[in-house]
Amino acid sequence: MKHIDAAAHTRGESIYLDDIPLIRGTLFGAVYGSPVAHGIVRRLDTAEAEQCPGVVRVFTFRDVTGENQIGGIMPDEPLFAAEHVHFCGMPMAFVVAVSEEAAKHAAGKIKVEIDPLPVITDPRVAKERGELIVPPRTFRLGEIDEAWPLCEYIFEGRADTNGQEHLYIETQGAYAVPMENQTIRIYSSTQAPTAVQRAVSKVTGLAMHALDIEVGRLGGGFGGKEDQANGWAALCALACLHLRKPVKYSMPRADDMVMTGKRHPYSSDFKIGLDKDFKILAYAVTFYQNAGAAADLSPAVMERTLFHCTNSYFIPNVRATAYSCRTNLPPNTAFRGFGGPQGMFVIEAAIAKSAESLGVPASLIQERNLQQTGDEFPYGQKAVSEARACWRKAEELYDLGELRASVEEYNRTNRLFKKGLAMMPVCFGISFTKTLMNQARAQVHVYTDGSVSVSTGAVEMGQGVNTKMIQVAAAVFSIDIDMVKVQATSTWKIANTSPSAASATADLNGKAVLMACTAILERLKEVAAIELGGKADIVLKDGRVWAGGEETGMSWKQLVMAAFVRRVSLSEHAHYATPGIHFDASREKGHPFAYHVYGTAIVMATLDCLRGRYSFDAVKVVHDFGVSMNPVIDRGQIEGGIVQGIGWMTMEEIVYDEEGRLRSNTLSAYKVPDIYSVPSQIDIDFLNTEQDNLAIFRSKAVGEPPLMYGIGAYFALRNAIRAFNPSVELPFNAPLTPEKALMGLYENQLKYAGG
Amino acid sequence: VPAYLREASGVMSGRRVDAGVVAEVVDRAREEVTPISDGRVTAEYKRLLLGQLIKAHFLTLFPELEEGDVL
Repeated sequence: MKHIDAAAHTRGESIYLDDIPLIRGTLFGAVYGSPVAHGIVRRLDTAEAEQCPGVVRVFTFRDVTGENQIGGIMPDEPLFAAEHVHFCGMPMAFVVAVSEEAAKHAAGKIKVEIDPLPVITDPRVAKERGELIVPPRTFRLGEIDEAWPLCEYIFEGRADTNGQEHLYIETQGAYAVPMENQTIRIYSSTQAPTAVQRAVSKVTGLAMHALDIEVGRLGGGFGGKEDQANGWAALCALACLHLRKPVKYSMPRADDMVMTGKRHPYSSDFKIGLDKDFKILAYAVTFYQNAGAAADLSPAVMERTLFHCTNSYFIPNVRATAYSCRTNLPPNTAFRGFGGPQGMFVIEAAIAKSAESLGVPASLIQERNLQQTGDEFPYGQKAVSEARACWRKAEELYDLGELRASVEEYNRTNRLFKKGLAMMPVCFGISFTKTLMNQARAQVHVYTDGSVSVSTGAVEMGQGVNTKMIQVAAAVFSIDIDMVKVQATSTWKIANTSPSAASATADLNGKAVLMACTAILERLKEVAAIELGGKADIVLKDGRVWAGGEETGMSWKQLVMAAFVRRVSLSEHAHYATPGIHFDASREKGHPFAYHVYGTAIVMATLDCLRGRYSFDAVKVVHDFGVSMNPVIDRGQIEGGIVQGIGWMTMEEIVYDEEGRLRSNTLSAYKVPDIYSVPSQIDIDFLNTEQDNLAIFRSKAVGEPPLMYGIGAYFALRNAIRAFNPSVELPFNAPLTPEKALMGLYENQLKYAGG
Repeated sequence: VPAYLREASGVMSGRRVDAGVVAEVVDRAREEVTPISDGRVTAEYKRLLLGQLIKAHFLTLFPELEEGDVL
């Protein structure tokens, strides 16, 4: 089944926040952000801005009717800066005017005096100064101190990964519309309608039931709208409450890049110990997470870094410690992978360092240490592993030996170009790591004409979740997919939702849809049995009612009408909570994930050794889908994830100066993958596995895991650089931009030249 | 902004192009330019890349040059 939005997207008919027809009298907002990264606010002068033509009012912290606070996990993030500013772009005022241009113009007339305080941008510096968001956490397995003496080889090093701009095509935004009886409807570009509802409730002082947050779809989220849509909605709602007029704010791209947080940069130290057969006996790692100026989701992101610190490998002795470090950057936030990729990069760096030092291919160490079913993760869960199955199949299906030989032959005969190949296994846990978030609800109505309406807490952001919800309902009722519609996500329809995040949205909401539809189906079957004179063994098949293996002549529509006439409920609201998951943070042990997703990618790169440019020849994947319920959508998720991961690892370079100002603040200074950066070949093989799992229809979650195949791009390039310059001392520092590649290729000459 | 590298060009005057000449041109060009580090890349990289582009230029126009010698 195709993505249900495909046709409307292609024709430009899909409605995003900025396409909603405006209500007469709508006002427009513009945010004034702090020009400095850290300081004490001495004066905030909005007088001139208030006098600008078209301006209706300028809001500051003084106008907050509830609490000036939007922190989700921790209440440490003011909506408006009051006495202090903590990052460049921190909102200080919200100008509301009759047009976007008037609001923007007036915002430029606001004057501030801020006494500067020292600016921290480096997480290691923050840690030294005791600037931690939460206390550090440590995951342990085995007895690492006793393991080091048993190691034949021990290597240490440092690995750094930079942030990543979400670059959702639709920027952040909200549109607040006053309704009757002191209620507000907010159209929000958010992955988390309930989080927006909570934040707006706190800021305005209105109860949650007075706030309908409605989301039709997003033009991309990638985690950037899991927590960070809240502030903009709160600003619009506050202005709406004061003015009793609709207020809209659709962020200009430049504001979005400067004011919103990104993927967390990490700096890490590792120590790895191997026995003589290259079995990894011990792994110690310390992560310094650059959290930015407030908690946002950082503690949860940090936790997932720890969960995924050993990637697909079984290591019997592990000690992993993570610090969430407060810096004067915009609060960093969720981004596809949610800290997992940052953790995986470090273990892959440790393996590469070992391999390079020992003069063996990294894949030898990787393969030898892949986990098996029954192996224990550092957090206590036992693996049900497809790691080796994916690796073996990739090796055989794509003829790894032949690929390797072709790379070697190419490098032997070419001087100006070199190729590199890397293997990237992935193991990713599915569930929100905070157990309570693993619940969802769905409301299903069957109308008397037989059509079906489904509402869930899932937010469609291009990932195809609505298509999957339709598939679930259509499969249970055995009716045509055209009979089912998924409605816009709304907090008045479905309450207390978890964000569309953690790759778990289709599973959680899909299971709730399954339960709701099944409950209705059971009632319909009872009606059918009565209508058919007590016949047993009722089954619905292709829109018809069957009994005892025979078609009865009763259609779906007739059955529905019969149920209605008999006053049987054709609606259901179901609640699903993932069974069997738990985690005890006091021991850092438990069973936090419903299941894991596995895969292996072979990544091949070609490097222009004159210019430092590169391209990716191929990414060849064997991916553990369970049993994919929608191969077209799932393939799309894998392809997009790979390209986004390659972007993070190679070209996307976020640059803040020492004053905490974003320098890579335009799309000319911040390069994202384009059609030319996409690998020439992306092969995706579906590893279909038979064993049961907790995924919807056994179709494993697919949103985040493929991003981490992109890590292989870094190591493939690294291998190509080393093929040209074997003595290079290349730091493990991603992204490996063309600049870093060229500097690595000619490192020796630069040293000689005093460069 | 295009810049005419007078000194680097001067190195070639009246000489037959070989790997040694290319190396001289590269060295002179790297001295002659005054790049800055900015939000995109470092000055050091811009200097290195300029030399590499000059090498690429000569390797393309003078196929008889030995790749290894020019590198």
